[in-house]
Amino acid sequence: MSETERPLRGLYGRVNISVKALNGIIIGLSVLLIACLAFGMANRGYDVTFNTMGGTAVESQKRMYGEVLEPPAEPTREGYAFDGWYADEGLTIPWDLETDTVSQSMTLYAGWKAP
Amino acid sequence: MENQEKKDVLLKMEGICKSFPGVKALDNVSLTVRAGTVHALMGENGAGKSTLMKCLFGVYSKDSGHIYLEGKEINFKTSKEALENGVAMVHQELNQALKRNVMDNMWLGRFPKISKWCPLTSESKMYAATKAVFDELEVQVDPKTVMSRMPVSQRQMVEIAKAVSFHSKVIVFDEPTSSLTEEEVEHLFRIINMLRDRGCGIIYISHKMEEILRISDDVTIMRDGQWVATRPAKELTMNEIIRLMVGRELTNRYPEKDNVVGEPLLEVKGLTAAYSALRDVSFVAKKGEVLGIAGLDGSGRTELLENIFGIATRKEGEIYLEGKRVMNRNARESLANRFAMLTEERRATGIFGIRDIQANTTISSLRRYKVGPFLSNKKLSEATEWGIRSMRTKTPSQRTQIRSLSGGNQQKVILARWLLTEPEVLLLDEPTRGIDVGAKYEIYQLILNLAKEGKTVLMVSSEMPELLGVCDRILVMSGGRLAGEVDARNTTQEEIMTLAAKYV
Amino acid sequence: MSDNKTAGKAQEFKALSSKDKMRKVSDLLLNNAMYIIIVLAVIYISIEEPAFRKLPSIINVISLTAAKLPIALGIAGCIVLTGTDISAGRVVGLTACISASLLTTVFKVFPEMTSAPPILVVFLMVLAVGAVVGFVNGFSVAKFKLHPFIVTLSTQLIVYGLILIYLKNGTNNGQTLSGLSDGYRALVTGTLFTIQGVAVPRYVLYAVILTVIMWIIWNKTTFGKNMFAVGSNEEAANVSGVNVSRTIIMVFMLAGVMYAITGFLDGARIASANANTGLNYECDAIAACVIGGVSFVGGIGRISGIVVGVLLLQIIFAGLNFLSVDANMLYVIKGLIILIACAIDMRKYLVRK
Repeated sequence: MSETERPLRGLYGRVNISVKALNGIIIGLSVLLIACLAFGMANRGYDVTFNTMGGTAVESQKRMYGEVLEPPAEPTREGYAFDGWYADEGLTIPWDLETDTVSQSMTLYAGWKAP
Repeated sequence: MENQEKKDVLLKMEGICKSFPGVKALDNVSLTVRAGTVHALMGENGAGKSTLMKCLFGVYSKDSGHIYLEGKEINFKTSKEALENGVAMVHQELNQALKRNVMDNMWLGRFPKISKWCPLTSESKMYAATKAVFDELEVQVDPKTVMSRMPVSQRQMVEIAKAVSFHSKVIVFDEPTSSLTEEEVEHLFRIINMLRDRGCGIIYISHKMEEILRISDDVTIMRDGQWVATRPAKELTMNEIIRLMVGRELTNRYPEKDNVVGEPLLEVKGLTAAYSALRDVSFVAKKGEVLGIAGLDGSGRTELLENIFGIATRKEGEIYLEGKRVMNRNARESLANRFAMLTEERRATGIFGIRDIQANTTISSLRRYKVGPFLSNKKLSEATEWGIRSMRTKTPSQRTQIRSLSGGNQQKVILARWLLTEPEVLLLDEPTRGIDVGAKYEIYQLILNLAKEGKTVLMVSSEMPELLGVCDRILVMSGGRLAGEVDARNTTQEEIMTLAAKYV
Repeated sequence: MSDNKTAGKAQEFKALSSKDKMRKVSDLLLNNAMYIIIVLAVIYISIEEPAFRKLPSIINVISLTAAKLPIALGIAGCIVLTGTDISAGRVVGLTACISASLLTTVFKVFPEMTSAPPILVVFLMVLAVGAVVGFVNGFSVAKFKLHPFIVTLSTQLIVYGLILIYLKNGTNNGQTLSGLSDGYRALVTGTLFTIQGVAVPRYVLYAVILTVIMWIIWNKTTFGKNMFAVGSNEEAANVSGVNVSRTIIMVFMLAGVMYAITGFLDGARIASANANTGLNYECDAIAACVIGGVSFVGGIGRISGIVVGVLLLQIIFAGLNFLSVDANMLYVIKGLIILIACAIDMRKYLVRK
């Protein structure tokens, strides 16, 4: 075991750091990770914002995992009628306010149709 | 004797202990180096020489014990600290900035400033200082040469000059001659003698006994991490040293030669390399013969083997095995043609360090262990077991990482790897480099056993006694050409040296 | 047998001095710091949100693991070769888009098509695409001796460009592809079996099959042994008669095929595909590999480790998702996890000084 100093290959080929320093780094990073986890858990909730695509502004909401949205005030836009909320900008995936649940931070887009 | 006793003790290491998990690497080791002497440190690989030096330089922290430099207790944390206090080391493996020139390497980390107020580095000061050191040591190197353009031996001289330029009191030489030619060794010894006369304490680590007996004043021998003896070199003989190192009597350094040379097997005609100096080499090797290849470093010995094996590009030349032409364009083809090659740089091109013994043993003969399309664990471990037993490899298990074995045992694993391919021609490049005495004998025995089985062995070596002791004939290379061929039984080192210098 | 071993180890441990004991314990703690943190976090989450311990959530984690497993199995080979592959995510994206554009009911990318080609044809096509990208990667690494990072960086960009161009094709105009054919969806997300009313999707089975195949390739074939040899010492492998270039190319091609499978499954799993499908998948996969003990030293890694790595990552992220932790913070956490895993990996293989 005393003569095991063989050069390492791969991405660590030229690593020149003592185990002691590495220990410090591991501990430091672990503490940081735990802090981040704690911070994340303390600031729970997903932000759901509404893009009205040119209509009147709608207030954003903070929701927990698995909750439904509180029905937002219906936006208005001159010359158009509101057609409901969509999960994507292309307005292909409609969002059902009663059944769809939140699982991430997201933006809902307003659909409009000519009256 | 009384003259020597008057010389002051320069470095004293007392009761040094160092443990690694599960292993006691150093057990109460002491070493005393007096000013103006060369102190040889000897021992088999794994005896703890390097560990002891690493404790001195602070690479490892010692568990217990004391180190005194000129009577003051010291405990270096880094090798830089050691350097600044006058303890330098010339490493076996050179760590140099190859893209930079000589003086940059000499003054790395302490570039001289133009003046106290001008923080720019002064090229002229650096040049003058380097030149002065070189003149003193009679090194003929232009300080502005780029390192990578110089041969290893000159780079080593630069390393030595660097140690000297620190005005070091204690200089450790770790296997300094492993890549030097005889002439360069002479030069090195002149430098060492000069340093000794100046009052430096030299610690000289080497496996080469002839050198040790020539150059050193005292010899300390270690075995298995323990101090065995410290004696004046004058009172020691080679056999005595071996006995102390191995812990038993080694009456014969070479096994008895009882191989029978048979019919010609391998014929090489006009071999010329595309990218090295190797030119027009032709020879015939016979069955059951151990054919030595001698020559200075850079004479094309290694290149010859590499070209035969196909890992270097050939320009011209033909290879015949039993009269049939073989191409050997790459290692795979050579393998299929029943060639095998043990490379010189065991660590770089031999072992798979982090893989276990089994993987290292079976990698070249994997297709033999297939059952259907899949590899059979049983066959793999049987083959490995055969390798361990027939080579008498010392390893805890097949699953041990090869890097934790000693050099000799690593070499045995690689030999087993090649024997499992059932080769007819074995090309061995420095098979005993960096291996301790006991293991060397076993390797010689293995080589002769192979010859007895009717295989042809080509063996390159820098150690002439080894070639004379093991080979039947010796080819001597010089400047990339074949300078001559001698019968190992009735030749002398002088004759070989003369041939080796023929085309230099 | 294993009992004996542990008993022996315990005895060995008792025999050590207290200083050695301290070191052994701290070694153990540090080398497993990652697992400890993750396990603690998961315990905390399951106390905080009991629903996380319920069957649907467990099935969800297993499904997610199955979805991310193939890509990790592929990338692991590249890491064993001391390299990496950052084009993985984009290849997943491209193959997902190809699958979604062909196995669909609306044919926006190819308006002249009227019916979907056989699923098997599309599958093989997608595999071929993955293999081609892998070949380009492998060939450049093996023959030009370029660092895999640079090579895969360039193929990543190229593949991304191709995705965007592909999505502009026909009447699609860069939109998200959806409206997948029922056969395709059923094949991938159809029910394998149900436990207490919770369906386990079919792709879990596919992931298991792929894992077994990869285990055989890694452990039971010449190619696998050669891969580890090349990873641990390329020069020695060459001298030992291993076809180094072919091995490297094969590893990257195999990886490409695995990404393609991931893409094929992902298209149906998410039920849509767009230019962002597969984004950053390689980060998760590399993180999983490093956590699972596939070392950047090269030549070290086990399939079981990769599975554990992917599983742990998915558990922690599913858990954080349950706690409604914001995605932005998840990126930071992911990055830290990779850093710690690398530091631990380095620590394991560094020489003790």
